[in-house]
Amino acid sequence: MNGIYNFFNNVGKFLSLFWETILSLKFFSSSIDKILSQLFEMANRTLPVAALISLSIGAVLALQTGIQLSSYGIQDKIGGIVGVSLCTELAPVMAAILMAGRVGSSITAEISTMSVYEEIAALKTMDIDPVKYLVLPRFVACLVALPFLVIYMDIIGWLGGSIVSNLNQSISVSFSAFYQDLSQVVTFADIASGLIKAIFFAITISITSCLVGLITQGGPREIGLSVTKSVVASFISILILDYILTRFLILVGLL
Amino acid sequence: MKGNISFININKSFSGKRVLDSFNHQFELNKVHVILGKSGMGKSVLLKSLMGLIEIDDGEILINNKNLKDIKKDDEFNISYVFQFSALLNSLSVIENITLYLDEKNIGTKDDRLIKANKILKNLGLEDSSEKIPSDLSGGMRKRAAIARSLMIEPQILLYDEPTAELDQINTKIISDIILGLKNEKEITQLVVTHDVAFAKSIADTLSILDDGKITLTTNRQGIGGLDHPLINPLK
Repeated sequence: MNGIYNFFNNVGKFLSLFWETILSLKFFSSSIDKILSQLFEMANRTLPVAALISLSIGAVLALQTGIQLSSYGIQDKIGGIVGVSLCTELAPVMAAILMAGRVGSSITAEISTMSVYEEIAALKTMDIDPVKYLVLPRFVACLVALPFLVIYMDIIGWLGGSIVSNLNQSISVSFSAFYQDLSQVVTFADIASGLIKAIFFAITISITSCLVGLITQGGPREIGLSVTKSVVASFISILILDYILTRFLILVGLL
Repeated sequence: MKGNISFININKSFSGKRVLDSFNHQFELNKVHVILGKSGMGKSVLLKSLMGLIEIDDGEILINNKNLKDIKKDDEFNISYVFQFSALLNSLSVIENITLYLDEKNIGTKDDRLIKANKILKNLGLEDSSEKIPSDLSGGMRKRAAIARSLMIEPQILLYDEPTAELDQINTKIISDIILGLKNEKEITQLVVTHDVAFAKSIADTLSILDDGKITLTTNRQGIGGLDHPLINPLK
C-alpha cells in the first residue's frame, strides 16, 4: 500500500515540477547563458561515448543481420535494416540511457548537494526560484541535446554498419549499395519517430534528475542514494515510455 | 524606524515533536537580539519561519503589526539570512555569489553591481578573495562572504543562524565586530541565534533564552552581567 502511495506521490511531484518548468519558460531569454553552458557540458560528457556506442551497435547489428541475410542471398538489404533499426529504436533508447547515466546522474548529484548544503534554501532567501535558476536551463538543454545526440548516433551507427558490411567477406556489401538501400528504406517518418521519442525521453530524464536532487534531505550518504535512485528511475521510465511511444507511433502511422 | 517583530502563539511540530510551543515574543527593530539555546530547542526553526523557509503550523508573525506574508507580497521589508554553514553556491566564485541576487533580478548595470559588491567585500576584508570559489576559503572567510551576500540585498532585518559555529576565537571576534559595525552604521535589526555565550554577551542589545520551544528568560544589555541561568553560568 505504501509503495502505491509513494508511486503516485512521486508521479504527482514529477508532473508538478514539469508544469512549473513549463511556466518558467517565460524566462527563457534571460536563461540563455545558463542553457548554453549546460549544453556545452552535456556535449562534453556524451559525444565521445555516444560515438563509441553507436559505432559498435551499428557494426554488431550489421554483422549479425548481414550474415543471416547473406545465407538467403539478400545481403544488399542490410542498409535499410541497419538504418531503420538504428533511427527508430536503438539510437533513441541508447542515447537516452547514455544521457540518464552521464548527464542525469551529474544533475542529481549537483542539485542534491545543493539541497543538502542549504544552497537551495539560500536561493529561496534571495527570492530566486530554484526551478527558474536550476531546472529550466537543464530542462531546455536536455530537450535540445537529446534529439541532436540521436541524429549523431544515427549517422555514426550507419557508418559502423556500412564499414562492417563492406569489410566483412561474408557480407561484402559496398558503401554505395549500403547507403542506396538505406536511403530507399529509411523515411522521414522513421527519423521523426526517433526524434519524438528523444523529446519525451529528454523531458523524463531532466525532470526526474532535477526532482530527485531537489527533494534530497540528509547528508552525503543521501546524495549517493539520490543519484542511484534518479538513474534507476530514469532507466525504468525510458523503457516503459519506449514501449508506449512505439505503440502510439504505430497507431498514428509513423512507424 | 521604530516598531517591532512580533511572534504570536507560534506552534511548529516535526513528526509529532513540538519544536515551537505557543511561542510569543517581541523583538524591537534596529537592535541586536540574541537568542541563546541548546541544540534542538527550535532556534533555527524560529529564524527559518521568519525567513519564510518553514511554514508554521499556526500563529502569526507580524512586523509593525502587519502580517509577514503581506509584507513579503508588498516587498516592504528585505529580510536576509546568514546560514550556519554559509550555503554559498560552490559553482560560483565569491563575487558571483555576492552579485547573484542583483544579477538574477537584473538590478542596476553589471558595473554598478560589481562596484557595490567590491565595496562590501572590502569592508569585510575579502577584497583579495573575490575570484576564489567558496570551497577554497577558510570557515571564517566563508561566513564573511555569506554576510556580504546578505548585505547585497540591503536588508532591514538580518538573521544569523549560529554565525560562529566552527569558528575560532579570532574569527568569532571578527564576526562580532561586523555585527556591531552594522548596528552602528545602518538601520538594521539583527536577530542572532547561537549557543556561544561569550559571543552572545559581546553583541546583544537583548538576550533571550529559548528552552523547549519557549522564551524562558529575556534581559537587556544592562541585565546580561547579572543573568543567572544554567546556560550562561554552567558551573554555578
